[in-house]
Amino acid sequence: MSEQFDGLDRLIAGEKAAWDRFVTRFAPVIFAAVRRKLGPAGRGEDAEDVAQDVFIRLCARDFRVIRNYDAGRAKLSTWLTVIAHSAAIDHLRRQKARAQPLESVPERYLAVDPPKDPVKVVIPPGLLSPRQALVLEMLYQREMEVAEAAQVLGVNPQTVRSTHHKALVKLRAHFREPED
Amino acid sequence: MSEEFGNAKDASDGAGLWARARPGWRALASPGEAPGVSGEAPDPLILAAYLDGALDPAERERVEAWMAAFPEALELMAAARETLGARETLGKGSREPSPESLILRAQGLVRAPLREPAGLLAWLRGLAGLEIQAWRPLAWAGVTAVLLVVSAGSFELGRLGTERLVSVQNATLGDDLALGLDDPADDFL
Repeated sequence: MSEQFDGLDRLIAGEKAAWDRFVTRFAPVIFAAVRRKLGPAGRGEDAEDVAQDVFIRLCARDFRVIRNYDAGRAKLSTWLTVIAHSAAIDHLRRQKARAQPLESVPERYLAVDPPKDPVKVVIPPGLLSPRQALVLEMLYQREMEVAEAAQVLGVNPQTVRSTHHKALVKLRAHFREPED
Repeated sequence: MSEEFGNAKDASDGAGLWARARPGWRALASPGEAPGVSGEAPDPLILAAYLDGALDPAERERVEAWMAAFPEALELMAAARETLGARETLGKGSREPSPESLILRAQGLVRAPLREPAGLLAWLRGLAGLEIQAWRPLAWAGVTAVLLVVSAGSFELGRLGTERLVSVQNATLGDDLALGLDDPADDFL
């Protein structure tokens, strides 16, 4: 099945049949993305409403969001997946903003950064590349497995291990710790 | 853990090193301090291109810097990646179903424009519509003309009635009998 959709031009022009085909084709994509995010958080029953909100956003203001889509940059299904996940996360954030027992909130949502101590710890710009910092964040702060981190980055696990190792070599040198 | 990282030393002190470095790095990566890192999420199209492996190295670095700096960003991208992975596993030929009610509600967001039925009836209606548009000024003229005729007729009837009244008033008693009081409407025959 093609990942793209023939007829976006007609959809943007307001052709009803093109919109109906678009909905039929991508409702499963959007719904699956929303449900995958809301389900584990205990808000699975909101999935249909949040998915509907995504469609509202897509056709609002004369299909302004869809007009900004560029087929040359990313697949339509990937783009819609990102939008759907973003909507689901926003929905969960709004739900959390209302009164909720603290013990029902997953621990990682309560994570608080340790207080900064710029006098003791100074990391010079460029010491770590964004990817190196991201790998360390995923492995140690998010406690992800190497394979999981590799999937997020879209690379193979050995690349993650290599990036991890290089980052630690730099940090040891910065903190003047010996390399064995 | 050493098997996970392939290096015993990395496994033993990695967590501690990052715990020491992280505060300083996050202070560096705060919005406005590090170029290319802002609190605002990159465009979804950029994020989608990242997930598709379609960004150039500089753009990819900016997205990864944003992901590293903001836990919500990493959460979004990790979730999206997982969904895409699950879809790959299912295969492109199959999809998780969505509720029919969602499809109907979403399709209902865009309405079809009003259309005339096809065929002879549509042609006639179209013709009538076009003609009415053209005849509108004429229609008003026609109505005005009818009103004028009716008014004129009423005036004339009134005038004749008045004449008869004057005649009657001017006539003597004997003349009344002579006049016979014939119907003024006969004048119009």
